[in-house]
Amino acid sequence: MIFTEFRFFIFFAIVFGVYWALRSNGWRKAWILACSYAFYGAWDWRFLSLIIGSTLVDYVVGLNLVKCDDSSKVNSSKAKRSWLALSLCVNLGALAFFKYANFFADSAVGFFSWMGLPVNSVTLGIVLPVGISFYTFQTLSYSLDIYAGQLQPKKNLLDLATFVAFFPQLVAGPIVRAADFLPQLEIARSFDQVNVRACLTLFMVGFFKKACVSDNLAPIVDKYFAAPDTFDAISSWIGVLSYTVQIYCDFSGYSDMAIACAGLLGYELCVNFNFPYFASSITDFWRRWHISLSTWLKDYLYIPLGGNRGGQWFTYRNLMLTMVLGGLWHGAAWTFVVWGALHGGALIAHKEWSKLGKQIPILAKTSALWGVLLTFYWVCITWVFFRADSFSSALTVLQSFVLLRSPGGEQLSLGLIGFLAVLLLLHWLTARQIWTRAVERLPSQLFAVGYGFAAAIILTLVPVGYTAFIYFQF
Amino acid sequence: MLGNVLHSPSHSGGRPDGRPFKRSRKRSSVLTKYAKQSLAGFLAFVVAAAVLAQIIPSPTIPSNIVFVGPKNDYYQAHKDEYTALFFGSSRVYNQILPDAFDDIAWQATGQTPHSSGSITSGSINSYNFGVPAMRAIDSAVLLEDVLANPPKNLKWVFFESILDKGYEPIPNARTYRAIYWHNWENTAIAAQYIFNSDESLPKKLVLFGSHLLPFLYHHINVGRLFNQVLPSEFSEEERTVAAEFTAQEGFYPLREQSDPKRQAFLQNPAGYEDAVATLTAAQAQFETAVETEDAYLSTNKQLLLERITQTIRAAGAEPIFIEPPSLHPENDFQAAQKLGIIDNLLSYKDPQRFPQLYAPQNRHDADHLNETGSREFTALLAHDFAQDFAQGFASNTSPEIAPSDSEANR
Repeated sequence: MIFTEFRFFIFFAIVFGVYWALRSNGWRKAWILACSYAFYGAWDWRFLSLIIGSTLVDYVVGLNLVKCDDSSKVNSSKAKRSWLALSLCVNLGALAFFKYANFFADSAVGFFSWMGLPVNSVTLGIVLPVGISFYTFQTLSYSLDIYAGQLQPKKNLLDLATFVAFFPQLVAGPIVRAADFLPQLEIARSFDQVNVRACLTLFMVGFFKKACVSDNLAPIVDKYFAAPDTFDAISSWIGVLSYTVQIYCDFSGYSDMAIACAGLLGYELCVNFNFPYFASSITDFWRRWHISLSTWLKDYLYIPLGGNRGGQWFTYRNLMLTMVLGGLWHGAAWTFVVWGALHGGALIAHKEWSKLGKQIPILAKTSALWGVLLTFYWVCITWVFFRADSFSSALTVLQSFVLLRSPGGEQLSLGLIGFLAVLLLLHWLTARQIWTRAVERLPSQLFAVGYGFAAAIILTLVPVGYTAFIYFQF
Repeated sequence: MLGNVLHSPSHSGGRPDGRPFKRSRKRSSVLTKYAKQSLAGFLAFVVAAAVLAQIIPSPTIPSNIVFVGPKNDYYQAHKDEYTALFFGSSRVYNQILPDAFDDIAWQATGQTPHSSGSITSGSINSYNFGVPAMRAIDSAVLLEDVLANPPKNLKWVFFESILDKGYEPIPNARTYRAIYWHNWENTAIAAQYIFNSDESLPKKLVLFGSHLLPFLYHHINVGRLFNQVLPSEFSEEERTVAAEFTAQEGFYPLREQSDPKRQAFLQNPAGYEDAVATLTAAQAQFETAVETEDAYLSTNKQLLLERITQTIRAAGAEPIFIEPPSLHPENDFQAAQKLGIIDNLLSYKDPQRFPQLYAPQNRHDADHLNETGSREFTALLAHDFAQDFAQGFASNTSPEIAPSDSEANR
């Protein structure tokens, strides 16, 4: 069940109606939890055991971490580390098994074959549970925050289970921190708190991004990346730009709808995207793209690795490690590792450039527009590795996209450039809050009528058929 | 940003200034406010959807539907050349070669085959309108749509279908192929078929419910602009297949060895032999039963077959029903013939009488023939057609076709 499906609207209408009809906060949470499990079980009920198992482990770990703090035993820090290790092993172990087992096995086989040692290939028939990367990081943040003394463990298992399984963000984020979400569960939400208009508008924007933009671009992108060597250089630009827009609209569309659904239930999720393609530098890009992941990686990986508390090379090593692991988080393939490394390299280069700008002031005065364009161009290049099925395919695309050399003569429709230009204009108007302010000022009845008209028009642009979100596979 | 989703800080239950929310308005007044706005929004949506349906009307058979679109486009461009049409599922699409059928039928009557572009008295030129995975209701609907404006030389319409329960599976229901035909009239045909069946009421409701999603999608214009103004392109594979079947008058042979059904067939020859033996026994049992007692066909199937017959006759042609060599256990067409609901039937559902059609070397999988088997089947069909309906060949008017049983003449 995905947010753009008709059955989700029925599902959410029932969830919403019953939720606000219930008076007791405890019953509301139980209802949300049951619905969240049903939502996840609609994919594959067997993997519910993973979520429930992960929740139970972190519940026990959380309580015991505090017990260790309370005890006066000398070896309490050792015990704390052991409990934390248990949480890390269970959560990362599940992630490693379901997501990376075949990747590591294939890589090992490849490596030994390269060394001239014959090894039989072993591929396990493992199904990747939807959203495992997201909820694993959420549960980890809970244990890590308690370990660091930044969070008190939940004695109420219902609260923790609701936090882990909260259906709007369960399968593709945003990655919610326990410290941000658990306090929201303690107080009964009031419907007066809900900014219904903002939620509905945000949901429609997310729906439009996913169903009308991303899903319409998907066949074009698939067609180009299936055989990039058969297309000319202009088509490589259309193909890469289309993918750049597709992945943004797909993922940010999901986040918008997730935030809107949570908002309608009275909960606030963190903002996950802030117009990342208008970023003026790669550092700025990572403050705007998948914000919940980048801050998670910063707080739970980059800083524990030492952050920038050592020398320059130490900082750059940490930066590169964080980005490479961030790349690997997205998918079990070396192309994702290269994608992460390219971003890590760009972040290091930007730090050097910023230093240089302090020494040579004229460099710092470079037009912001150039910064935006250069960042966008680099991000497009990195997306090629993110999307391509293999390195050879990625290099074929890049040869055409960067060097404008392509052996193929087939062409994608040039009309797509106009479509992308219209999207850019809409995006710019949204970033400038031009139409959103107008929507805020509309009288209620006029908003309702306009919403009905807009919904009817948007539906005519939705390609029929089932298209899952790209980030479900991560 | 599009504004905060909450009016107050998320960690509190109170207002931004820290004061708690007062329940200043009664719960009922809040509900009334939102109910009024929801109604206004809903009405606006309905009006907009109705207006958009007028601005972007749905074609009867859109061009960009896999199989159906290219088949219909080719047919519309050449329809007056055809005197015979084959309708049905993959058992028609993958198993009847129109060119071979025309040649053999003519040879069997001792006359020369029709040359392309000139329809002469007694010509036969057939077109395969078979589409994979067609079911009872959509087969009937496609037939009605195609014959609404019939070719001027049409004489025979061959119809094949497994008369299933009328279910539209959810994955299919979200495809344009299901959505395009779910207008009021066609959904009513589905309703009639389901509610006149022998199923229990809850089952009927579930079956009819499966048509509501494509019906709804049709009427709120889902994908209408996308599909008509920005039509999706067929994939490379779909284009290749369409080019091949249009070059062969609608026929496409099954030859993909990696097809899971093919693999399952190859891996379990004993299972196939058992299924053939079961079908042979069932066929013998059926024939014995109808000799001693009345044949039975549920009301919905009777009504559908009558409707199909009327549609074909209204187009100036004669219906000929076909039962291809399949392992499907139902004998609906045979029962319909015994009951006098259909006049003309060419049935090949008997492994004992047609062993060559059930021989493993002629099968692609348990359900379908391979190309060799299809040629064998087409030859038999053409021969039987020529024998049973020979009177129609010589005449340029509608053929006079006598009720017959193809096996009886063998």
